[in-house]
Amino acid sequence: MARSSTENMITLMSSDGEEFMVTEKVARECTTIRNMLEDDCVITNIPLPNVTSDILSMVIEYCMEHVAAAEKAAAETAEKGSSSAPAAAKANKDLEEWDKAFMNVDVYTLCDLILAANYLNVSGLLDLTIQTAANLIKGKSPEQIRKTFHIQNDLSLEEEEKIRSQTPWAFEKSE
Amino acid sequence: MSFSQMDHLSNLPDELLVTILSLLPTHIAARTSILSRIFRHLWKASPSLLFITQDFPPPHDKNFIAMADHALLHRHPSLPLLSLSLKSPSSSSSFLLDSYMPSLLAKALSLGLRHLTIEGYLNLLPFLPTIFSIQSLESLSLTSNFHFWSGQYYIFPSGFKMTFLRSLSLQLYTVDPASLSRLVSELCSLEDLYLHIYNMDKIRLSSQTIRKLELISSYQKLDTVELFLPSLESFHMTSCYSLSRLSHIRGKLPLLKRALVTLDGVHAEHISAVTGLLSCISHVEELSLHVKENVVEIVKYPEPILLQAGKYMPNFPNLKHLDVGLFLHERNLEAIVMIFNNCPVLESLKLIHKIPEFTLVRVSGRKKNRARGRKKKDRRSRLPHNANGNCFYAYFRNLHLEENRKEFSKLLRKKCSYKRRAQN
Repeated sequence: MARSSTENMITLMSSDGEEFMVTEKVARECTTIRNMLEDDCVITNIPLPNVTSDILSMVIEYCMEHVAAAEKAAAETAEKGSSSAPAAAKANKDLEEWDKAFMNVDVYTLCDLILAANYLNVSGLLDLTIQTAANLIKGKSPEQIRKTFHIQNDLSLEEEEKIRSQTPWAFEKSE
Repeated sequence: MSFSQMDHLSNLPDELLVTILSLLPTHIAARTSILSRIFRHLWKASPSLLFITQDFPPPHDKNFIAMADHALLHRHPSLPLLSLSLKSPSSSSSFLLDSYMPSLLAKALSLGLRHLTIEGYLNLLPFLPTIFSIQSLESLSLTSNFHFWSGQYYIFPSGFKMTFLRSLSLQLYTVDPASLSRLVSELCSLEDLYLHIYNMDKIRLSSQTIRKLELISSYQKLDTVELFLPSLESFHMTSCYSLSRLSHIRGKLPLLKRALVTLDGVHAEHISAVTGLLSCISHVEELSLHVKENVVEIVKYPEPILLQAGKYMPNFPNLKHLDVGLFLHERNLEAIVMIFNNCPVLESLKLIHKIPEFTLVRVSGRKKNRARGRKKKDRRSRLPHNANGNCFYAYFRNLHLEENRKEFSKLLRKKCSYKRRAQN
């Protein structure tokens, strides 16, 4: 595309050495990278030693989708007027649907995404992943939560009993 | 342990785990304390508490009180509490909040609470003085569907010093209008106001700081709305039921940029209210106006609801984008043309035909069919055919270009030829 060739391209390098070329606009969705670019505007190659290529490609996918949605909304405002509230509501709903589908990942990927979103400071993605993790805890017994996240129970039986007796209101009686 | 069996969740930094737990109702967050050693005390560090009076293992009351004691009343003063939400989804469990509220609020006050949300079927009147004494609050949301038996209404305290409160949301039955006005004018940092009113006939809001207002009325007897909000930028107004008595809308909103107005059950008697509203918001840049008409009987041709006989349309000097959903019969279309003529910088215009609600008198047999036929004809939109070959919506843009503007007025004038026909 003619437009993207004039845009600044940034290379992001994952911990396993894979390179990802993204537009500056997409890279700026990550506050951490935005701050780097603002400190040093000629930087074009950014190593990200804390993020693997699988996770980085997902983060980039998220940022690209959200940048595209924001651009589309801005273009519509400029062209038609943002007063078309139903259209804006529909666009929001579409993006929410996309987010929901994007969160259809296993718990390992989810946890890695939380870490990456936190490290790169992508607030939208951090909120989304944190909420998804909270939803996975809701409505489950402690045993089911352990199973979902593969948590090893390192508490002794006595300790467990003690906690249950201190906060009986948090636990089902039958357990 | 294989890679796929690794526990990634426990590897997250504590602060992220606490953020996850802070999104959960407190009794569920506390459930994680027996997952493993890492989780044992983590939930206590959550800066948000959410108490829901339901979903407890029985006995509910005892367990709710034990939780409130443990999580809030015995909370260590070194642990900051930012947000407290108290919710009772059912009326049967609201008494729990009722009896425990004073001690919960007193403790929240001592911990420097920033965000308070109370939701449920309970009388909040006795707690208002305490709630408004929490000076650290930045946002406050009170929702209650409790009805007073008779005569009583909510009166807000005055003379408090809530200098940090930026956001206020109230959804209460039977509020004293004067007390609400005073409350709003006394909140010196308020920027965001959400009001859902049920039983108030008058609303008068005056504030130097409010920038965003959402006003929802579910009350048929609302008759006066007065808004003096010199900093207001965004205004949403929704009326859920018929506006049967609304006759006065006045105000000064010089900085208003966006307005979204949705009115239901409007008929010809409301012209003065609707034109009053339009004059109030005449400084907007973007206006979305959706009006659903209620046509009781079609004796004569439907009256316009945007035009008042003998009065002229206000000028919209800044309006760039206009979006109107309306029963677009000839007279209303004519009103649209008049608005258009008063919008010198309009760029886009979107028109959506809304089929009104007809309250038809029941007739039997053949007559009924005739009534139906008539109904269909009277529902017709007078909009020109659009690209999809129907008349339900029309969309005009780049109206700031002179040629488009001329073409548009020619097109719509042709459609409102009814007056000229009558004269001929």
